[in-house]
Amino acid sequence: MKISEMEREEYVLPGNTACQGCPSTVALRTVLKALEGNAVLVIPACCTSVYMGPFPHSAIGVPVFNTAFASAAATASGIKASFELQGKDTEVVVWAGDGGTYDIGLQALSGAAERGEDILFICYNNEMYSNTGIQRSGATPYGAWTTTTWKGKREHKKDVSELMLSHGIPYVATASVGYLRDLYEKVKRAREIRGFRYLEILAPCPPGWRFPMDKTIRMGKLAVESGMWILFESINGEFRFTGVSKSIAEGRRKMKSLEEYLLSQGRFSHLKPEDIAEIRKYVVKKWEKLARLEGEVDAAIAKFYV
Amino acid sequence: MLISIRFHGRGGQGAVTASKLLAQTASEMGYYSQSMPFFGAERRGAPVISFTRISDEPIYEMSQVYHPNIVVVLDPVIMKVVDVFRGVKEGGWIVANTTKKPDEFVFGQEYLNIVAVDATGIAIKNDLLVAGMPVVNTPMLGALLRADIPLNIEVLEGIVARKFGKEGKKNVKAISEAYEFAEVKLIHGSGKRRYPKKQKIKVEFPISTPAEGVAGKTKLWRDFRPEINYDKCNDCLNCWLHCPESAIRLNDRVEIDYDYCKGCLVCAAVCPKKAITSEREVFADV
Repeated sequence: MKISEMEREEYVLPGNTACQGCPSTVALRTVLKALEGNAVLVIPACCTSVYMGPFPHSAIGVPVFNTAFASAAATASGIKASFELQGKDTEVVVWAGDGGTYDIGLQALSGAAERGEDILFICYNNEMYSNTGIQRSGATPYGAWTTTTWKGKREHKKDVSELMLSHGIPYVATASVGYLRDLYEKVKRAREIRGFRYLEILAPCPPGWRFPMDKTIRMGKLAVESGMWILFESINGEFRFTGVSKSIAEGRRKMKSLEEYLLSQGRFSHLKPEDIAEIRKYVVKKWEKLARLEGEVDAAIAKFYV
Repeated sequence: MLISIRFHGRGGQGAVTASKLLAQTASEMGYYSQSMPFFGAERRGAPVISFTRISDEPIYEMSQVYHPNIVVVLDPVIMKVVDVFRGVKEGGWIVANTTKKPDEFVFGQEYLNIVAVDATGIAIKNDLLVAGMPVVNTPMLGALLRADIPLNIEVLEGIVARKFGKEGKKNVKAISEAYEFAEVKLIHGSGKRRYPKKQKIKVEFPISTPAEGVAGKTKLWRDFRPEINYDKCNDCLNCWLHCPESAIRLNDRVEIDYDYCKGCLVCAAVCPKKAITSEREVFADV
């Protein structure tokens, strides 16, 4: 997809209250372009519900339903049911942060996925509660500083994209703000599929992660190039790596060093070599797990048809 | 038209079910309706209240009903414990399960319409008993339809017949009997009610409309001002794609909207031709 072929209409309007260099606005802008504005957003408590501005105006050019933290997926299910009754083919998109996905919104998300609701759930994951001033979340990686993990978090993150894979839903994918064209194409593909679709976008947050605000896109790329964030896509159970992660998985591209990614962020600046070794161990394990998943899917299908 | 109804009863008498059945009747007849119980201790025998609203327009009030047009009292003795007349509008309706005559009611309003019916007697006569308690909610709905309410008794009976299955017949009979035997009379009260009048509160559903500049002209956030050197620009549109603020406009070429650009300089960072440079911003007009 060439940039010049992308939708030109703007759905995230300028003059909003998002921070400078915000990854959420740029990701949401891309998502709504890919949906050509034919969408209703359901937004639980998160940065977006704040930066869209106060009543009586909104910085978002599509209808938005602000809902409570725990109930985003349930709210979207109801809106979708109403649209189905009215015969409208409008995409109902949940746009939730990692708090509304990994922690507080998890049960509604899992319930809607299990029911096979025809909605697109997008988690923009900045790995912390940035809106309330940088607290740890279930998505915060090992070693990261937040205001509630002063010496660095001692636990690894849980991985909701893997959890969604095990829900057996028709579409699971990860994306990064570093690769907006990839994100655009993934939203387009998700739009073509019916049923519950889950998309997770890594959103490097300049104030939360402590890096200069012009490096948002760079950081999104670096996370993928260093292997910390893995791009993949699973359509109807067929798992595959995508983009740079695919090149890495196929051995066509060398991973960048983890240190380059970690130490360019203030939140990891205190890390000791043994912490980095611990993170590396986690990353390697995750790659092995996903690579097996890709292999196993093929093997299972082969076995079935022999 | 907005009709608010409050049900008084005791746990187990079916006040909540009655309010739901009423809302359902209204809904089936094409009105907007809502029904909700008061959330409290829901044990048998405790005083309970429940609410229904019926309107020909969408209803945005989601509160309890404080100023009902109609009050339905399911229990003959609850008036001793609870002030069922509280907040009832002048000229409103009291539909009471009682063996008393309408003239025996005393209240603070100037005048009210009283619908008196012996629902307990009707329930016993029709063998409508659950766990030894007379079921008074369905006959009370029958009596309620004698009040100023645009609902049709056939529709109500249809819903009740569907809902209660083999018990439906008895319930339907009780409804029509109560409707028939209810005594309706306009009664003068003392006119000395102490309650303040309802203040007019306009309830609106808040809907925001999309607009640029919800946070004003965000140019003031800018410490650095990006400048595009069009000699170097190759129209790759990377700056447009990556701008977090949607502040790069696509006209004949990419142009920065300096009213809203917050100066994050992501555009300069993603430009493959290094065609975007930055300078310190100084606002002359601030």
